[in-house]
Amino acid sequence: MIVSRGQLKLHLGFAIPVAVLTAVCMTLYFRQSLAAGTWVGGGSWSGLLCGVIAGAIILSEMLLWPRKALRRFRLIPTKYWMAAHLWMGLASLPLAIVHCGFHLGGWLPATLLILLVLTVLSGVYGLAVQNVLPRWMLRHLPRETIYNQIQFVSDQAVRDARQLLTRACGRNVASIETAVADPELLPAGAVVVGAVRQAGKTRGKTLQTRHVAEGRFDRETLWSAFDQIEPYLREGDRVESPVRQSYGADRWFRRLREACHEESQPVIDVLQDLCDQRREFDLQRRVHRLLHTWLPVHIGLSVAVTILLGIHVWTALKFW
Amino acid sequence: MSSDAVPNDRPMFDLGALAEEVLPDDEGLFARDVDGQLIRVEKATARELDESLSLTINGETLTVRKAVPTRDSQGNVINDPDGAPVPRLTTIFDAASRAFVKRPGDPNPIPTLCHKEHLPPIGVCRVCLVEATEETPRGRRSRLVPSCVQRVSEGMIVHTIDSPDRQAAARVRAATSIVVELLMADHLPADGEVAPGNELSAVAHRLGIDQSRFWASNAHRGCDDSSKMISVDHEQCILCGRCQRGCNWVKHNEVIGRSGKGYQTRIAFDLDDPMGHSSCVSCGECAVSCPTGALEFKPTFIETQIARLRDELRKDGQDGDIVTADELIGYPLFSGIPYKFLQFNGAAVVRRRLEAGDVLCREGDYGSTAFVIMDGEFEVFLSGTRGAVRNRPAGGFFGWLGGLKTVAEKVGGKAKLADVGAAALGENERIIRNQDDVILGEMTCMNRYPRSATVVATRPGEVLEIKRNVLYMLQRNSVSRQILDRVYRERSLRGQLSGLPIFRSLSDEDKLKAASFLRDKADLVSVDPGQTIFRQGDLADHYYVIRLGFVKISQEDGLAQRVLNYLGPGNGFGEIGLLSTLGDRWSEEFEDLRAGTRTATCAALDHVELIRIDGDDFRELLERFPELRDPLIREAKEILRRDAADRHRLQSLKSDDFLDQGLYLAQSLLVLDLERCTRCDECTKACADTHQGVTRLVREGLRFDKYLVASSCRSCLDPYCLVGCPVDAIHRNGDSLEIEIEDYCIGCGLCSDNCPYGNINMHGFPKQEVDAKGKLRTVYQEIDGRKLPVVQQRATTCDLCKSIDGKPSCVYACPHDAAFRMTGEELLRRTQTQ
Ligand code: SF4
Ligand code: SF4
Ligand code: FES
Repeated sequence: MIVSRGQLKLHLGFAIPVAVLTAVCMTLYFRQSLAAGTWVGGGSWSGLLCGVIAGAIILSEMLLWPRKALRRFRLIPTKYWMAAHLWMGLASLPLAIVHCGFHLGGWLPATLLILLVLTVLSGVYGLAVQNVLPRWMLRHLPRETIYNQIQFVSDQAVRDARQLLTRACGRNVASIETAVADPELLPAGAVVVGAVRQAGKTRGKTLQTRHVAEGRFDRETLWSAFDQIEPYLREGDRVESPVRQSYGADRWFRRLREACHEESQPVIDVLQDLCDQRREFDLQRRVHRLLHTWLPVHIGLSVAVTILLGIHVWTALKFW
Repeated sequence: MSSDAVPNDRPMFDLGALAEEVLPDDEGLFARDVDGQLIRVEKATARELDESLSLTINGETLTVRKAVPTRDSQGNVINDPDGAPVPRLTTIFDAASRAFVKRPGDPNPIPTLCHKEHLPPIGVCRVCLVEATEETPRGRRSRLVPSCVQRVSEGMIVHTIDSPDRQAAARVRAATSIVVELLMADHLPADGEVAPGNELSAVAHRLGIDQSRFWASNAHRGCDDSSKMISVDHEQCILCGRCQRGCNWVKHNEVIGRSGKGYQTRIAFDLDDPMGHSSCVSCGECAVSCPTGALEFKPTFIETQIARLRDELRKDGQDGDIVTADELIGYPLFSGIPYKFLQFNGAAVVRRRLEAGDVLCREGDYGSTAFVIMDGEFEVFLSGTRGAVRNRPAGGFFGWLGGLKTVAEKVGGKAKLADVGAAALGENERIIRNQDDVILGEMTCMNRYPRSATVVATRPGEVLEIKRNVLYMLQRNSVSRQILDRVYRERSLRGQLSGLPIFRSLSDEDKLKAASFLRDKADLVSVDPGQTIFRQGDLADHYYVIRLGFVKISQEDGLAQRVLNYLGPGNGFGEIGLLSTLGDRWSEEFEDLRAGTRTATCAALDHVELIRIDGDDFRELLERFPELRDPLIREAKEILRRDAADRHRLQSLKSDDFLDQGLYLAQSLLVLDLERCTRCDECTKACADTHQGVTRLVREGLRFDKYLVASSCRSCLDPYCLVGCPVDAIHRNGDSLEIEIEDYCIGCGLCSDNCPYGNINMHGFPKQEVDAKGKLRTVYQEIDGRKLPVVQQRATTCDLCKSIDGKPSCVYACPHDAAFRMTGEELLRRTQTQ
């Protein structure tokens, strides 16, 4: 969730009440501690108050999970849940710490506290990447697609490239059976390819029709070049390829251009563009992981915290 | 077919029995291909569109054009790439229809089978034979000709089966009867059990033939029961090709062709596949077109459709009784609609009875029905504003937190439809409609814009409420189309003239005077998407006001074409070219312009309707109402100043993409702020969770600045998807924006093809049919020993979660406050102010 000026109202709506509540609890705690001349523990009334509120926060934070599963129900828009989750989650840590009286205590409270710290840290990490990476992706990955469609789009790109080559220089003589020409495409004398376009402040993917000339002497060169890059177009950086890195790709394509006819340049442009696209997909994959893999960790830690919290409450009540 | 005749007391057809001068038909030498059929018709020239000739049909002399513009199945003129109408020779059948069919339900003196006026004629059945006498270089000559393909000629004398010349009529009857009897022998069921709507048996009945005098052929072509919707009985097929033309020419599905030869010739689906396994999309057009029992809707399908429609009516809380196909066919207005269509759309017509003061429809509502007035009197009110649903900041605590609420508002942006409508009537000017006006509320069905008036019953009355698809069917028939066109034009003009934007400076009284001056002079013209209205440099001859649709204004700047602006309903254009010709003061003001020429090019962005005022009338108007002049000059100068300023900017004011992508029409775009969106797909998941596991949005699409316009229904102001649904399952209702697709969608995919933005998707759902108790039950089939539901394709599109509670789930579920619903204009504003 982004914390930006545009969302100030949304965040302040939760941050202020939560901050006030936390401040009040802490003040009470510090006053009692001051009176007692030592950091009072969780058994003191103010320590207990902080602990109960921290515990309640942890439990309510966990409600976000069923809330996600029940997204078809109208249970207050999710952005309010998220904002509340964020600020309340942050508040739970100081409250828990004062509840401990600044001691780790036995193994159970110690583990609980450490896990809570880790949970909050993982959440803060998530918040940080969510604030940074989407903006970065917007600027650097204009060809970004839906994450789980990357393979599909890549396969489509291979099909497009093959049609383009067939149209440009005839079928691949080396492997006729793989050169699937679309008979309806040929008479039109044009191929449709996806390309990123920028118009003023607008930018995005559009379909463009390109006219390409008839078969030429460089047919075999082009097809063999395509055979070399095809695994990369499909699998990306999971395979070794001369076009895997952008500087290597520039060199490779420069050599290909030199070996080919002037009229083949538009085709090579498209091939290079597809390789760039694949490179962006790989980058997107990595960024996507950064953006989302913290979540299972955060959830795992939260579940552990909740379980330990249950045990902690039970033992605390038992040995009161 | 056996040539042995069955003994009968009627004389056999015999060429010798024809009058001396009547020769068998001899058509032209050269065959032409009309949708895969080789027919021998001559080609018309553009010149013939303006040439007239006289002929006599059944003793009545009439004058007709030699050629008429070719029209599509809905009566729209087909133009060639240069925008000129494609001519088609006037046929004898056309002329006879013009002369004898004046009102819906009037009988045509020529029976037909293979021909229907919304289809191109192919002349294969020969049931429409007439006797035509012409002057030829070799003297007077009479021939039996198929009237549906035979061109008219000067001085031609035509006799049909109903001719007052009894001998001639008998000759034509004898010939037609033979044709009909031959068809009957092979293609009417032997047991004489014909389904209602069988046109072959109706023609036989009209000719007084009870039974054919021929034996049936021994050849059998079989049946095909593989489709879940239509049963095919090849035995009853007369190979008229109507289904083929319906499928290929009307619906462009290209599924039906022919296979076999001789007696084994039959219609074929794809490469002679069983219908249910072919690429047939089940739009029903073939069965609706078929004049025999060869293609019939299955009873279970009809019952299921009716049950679903009834459920829908109940759900919407609508009163009224469903009018059955059998009853409807008795009304003259509906007599041109195929019986099978009415059957197919079992509950498409509902009878509503109204008391005085009852509201029939409200202005601003998105209606999908029209009302045929059976009885009563209705008052039409043009006032108020048009509603639309918007997301606006909510009040109270959540509003303070940035929350949204869904509100109904006037249609914003440039689409100030209501402003035009609202100013149209004076306080005490009442519009009353009754049975003579035939129909009410048809505009919304024809132009897909919200209703432009509120209609209230002034005394008890009765109307037939018909769905949009029934109206489309009425448009296929030229007589009912003429009625619809006439009322549409009249009402469109009447409602708008006094509200013209140039009249803003006039007093109310003068506005009415000016409107009455223009009443017979203004014209309503419709322009197709992309068509140029005028070009920069053209001679200025008209002033235009946009009634519906959007117009792009661009200027050539060297080699580049720059978009200066786009105008929506209610705006006028074309005045600058006219003003600059007014001499003296006018030419001083516009001295740097070439007098009388257009300063920019105007082209239609979508389906545009324009009120056109001739240049001379416009100038006369300015003479009569001089107070119009100054504001007009001021406005024109302001436009020119703006254009000049724009010319110096690097980017055009409105991005071309914004227009190309139709975003100006969008009333509810799903826009994702990519700086906030973490690509968590919660919006997509929420959409799927809300709609039976099928998402109605795809998180991909065009990017505008940091915004992604996701693929999800945009609730266009003029939704193309609504055009042509065979069962009217897709529509817009009430005062909200969303496009709804009902459960009785038959999955033909037309709407999905029609949506230019790919926002309607076809998905498989378990098929349901009514059981013996009238309840809807899932239909199962056994595959490899497993019981699986039969899958039926259905169209799905975003209905802004109307079926849930009207709050779009995508926006509701976005945890990062990155999803918004907004109009295209709002998006443009946001990207420009970033
Ligand atoms: S199936 Fe019906 S419409 Fe088609 S060719 Fe046969 S008779 Fe004509
Ligand atoms: S809603 Fe669409 S798919 Fe369904 S019947 Fe109508 S046009 Fe065909
Ligand atoms: S109707 Fe004219 S030939 Fe069939």
